[in-house]
Amino acid sequence: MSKPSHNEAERDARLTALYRAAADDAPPPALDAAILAAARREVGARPRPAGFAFSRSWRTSLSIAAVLVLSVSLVTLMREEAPELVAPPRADMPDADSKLKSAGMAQETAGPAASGLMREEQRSKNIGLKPPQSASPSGLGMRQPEFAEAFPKSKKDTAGKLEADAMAPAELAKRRVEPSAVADARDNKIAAAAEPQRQAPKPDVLRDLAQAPPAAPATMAGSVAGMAENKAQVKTDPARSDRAETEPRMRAQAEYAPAKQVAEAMSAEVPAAKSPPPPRPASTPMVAPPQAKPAPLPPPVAVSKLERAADLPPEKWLERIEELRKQGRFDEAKTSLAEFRKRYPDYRLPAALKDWAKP
Amino acid sequence: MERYRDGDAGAFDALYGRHKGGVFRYLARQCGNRGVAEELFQDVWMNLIRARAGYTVQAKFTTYLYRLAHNRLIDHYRAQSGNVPASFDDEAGPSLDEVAGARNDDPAVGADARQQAQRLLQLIENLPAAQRETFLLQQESDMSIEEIAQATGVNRETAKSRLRYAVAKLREGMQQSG
Repeated sequence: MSKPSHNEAERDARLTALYRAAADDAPPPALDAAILAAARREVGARPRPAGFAFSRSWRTSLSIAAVLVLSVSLVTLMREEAPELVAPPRADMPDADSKLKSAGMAQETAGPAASGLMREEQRSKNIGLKPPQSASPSGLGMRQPEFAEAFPKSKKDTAGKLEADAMAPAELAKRRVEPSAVADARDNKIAAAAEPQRQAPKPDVLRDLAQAPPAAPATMAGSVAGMAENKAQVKTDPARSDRAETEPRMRAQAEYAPAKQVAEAMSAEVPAAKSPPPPRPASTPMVAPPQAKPAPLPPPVAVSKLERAADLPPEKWLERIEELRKQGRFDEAKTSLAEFRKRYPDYRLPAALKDWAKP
Repeated sequence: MERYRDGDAGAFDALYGRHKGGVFRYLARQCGNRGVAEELFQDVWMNLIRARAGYTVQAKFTTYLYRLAHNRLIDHYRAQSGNVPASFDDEAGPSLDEVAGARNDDPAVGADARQQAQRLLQLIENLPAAQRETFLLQQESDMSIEEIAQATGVNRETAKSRLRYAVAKLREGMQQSG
């Protein structure tokens, strides 16, 4: 007996052929299906329905297209509604505007109005919105190059607003930044920085003021009546300088205003001081006349108010200053004005405000 | 299998289609019961599915798959009788000289091939489990001696020896029947 070769022993062709002929067993189809389903479950896949590949290949493109369409339509809608969204409604403005115009200050206020519009437009640009629509600049009475020189960044529609505010071309031409104006602004900045220090209230004075009654009704009524009268006079005689007329009344209002303001500030800062102050007779004299003791404001309050005013467009800011001045809050008005001049050094102030601001 | 590991369920379908028959027949002839074979078959594939995430290429997939099947079968033997068949412990096995008809005795292939095939299956069934396994692995998976050794967890010489004994016995049996 000899050993068979390795090849022969390892694979026998006849045996293989016979085995293959007999080997026809297979697992039942149900078992196949169960195993395949388990395999799909394991990978989280499902059998592909007809057209799956098509929808899958187009899904990304369709999603991108849909997002683009939505974005464009949203931006378009927002641009259309930009004036309402960006600029606050000017419904509260006409009263102040008409007052100023009737006082013959239209010429001076045209500058602030234009600058305010420029700011609004700039804000619109910043948030990607369309600036407010208005008339073309042709009615301004100024040729296009002049207009561009006066408002290098503004657009045509801004000029429409300028026209509405009856701005004189000569005034516009003057509104270039001059070196002297910049120097003035720098001086004003220094003065404004010094102002809060000068006005820093002493703690005991603040406490006294906080305890002061809110207002004497008679004084308030007088102040309001005075303001109304003053307004009427301004309307009837626009050319006349109203400073001499209004100043005494403003002083009278100032007797009330600083006390109330400081009381508010104190109540905000000192929670213990929230209890209502003891009532005082209406005839009780106020704590101190504003001339003797300049209306002391706690710096944080003043700063926050200034910051709030700084958010306003220039013409509104000036109106705020004017209101403060009319209410007799001269120190606040001065601080705000100094801040304003710091912010807008080349801005032309209304004549009344300019006279008042002179030391 | 790597594609299936990476989430391609279609790759598993292909693997299953290619190997399901061989694995099933291997299990069926090793355990001798179709119902049990189906159960073992399902377990093998489920083990493969569960091992998907940790699958790394260390050997041919066929070797890996039949290694799973072999292990499941050993578990089955242990569960049935408490230990694996003695032939799996017989590393060297008898010498070839002890095997009758182990030489060039060609099995007589009669006119009725089907009858001969049935006779062969019967002879396979009578082989010791380890030899049978080696023979079945060779026939069903077309693995080499080295791969069979790897799948069954033995060295190459043991696998080779088992195969030679299996083939010699089958030849002898076929010759006798012929």
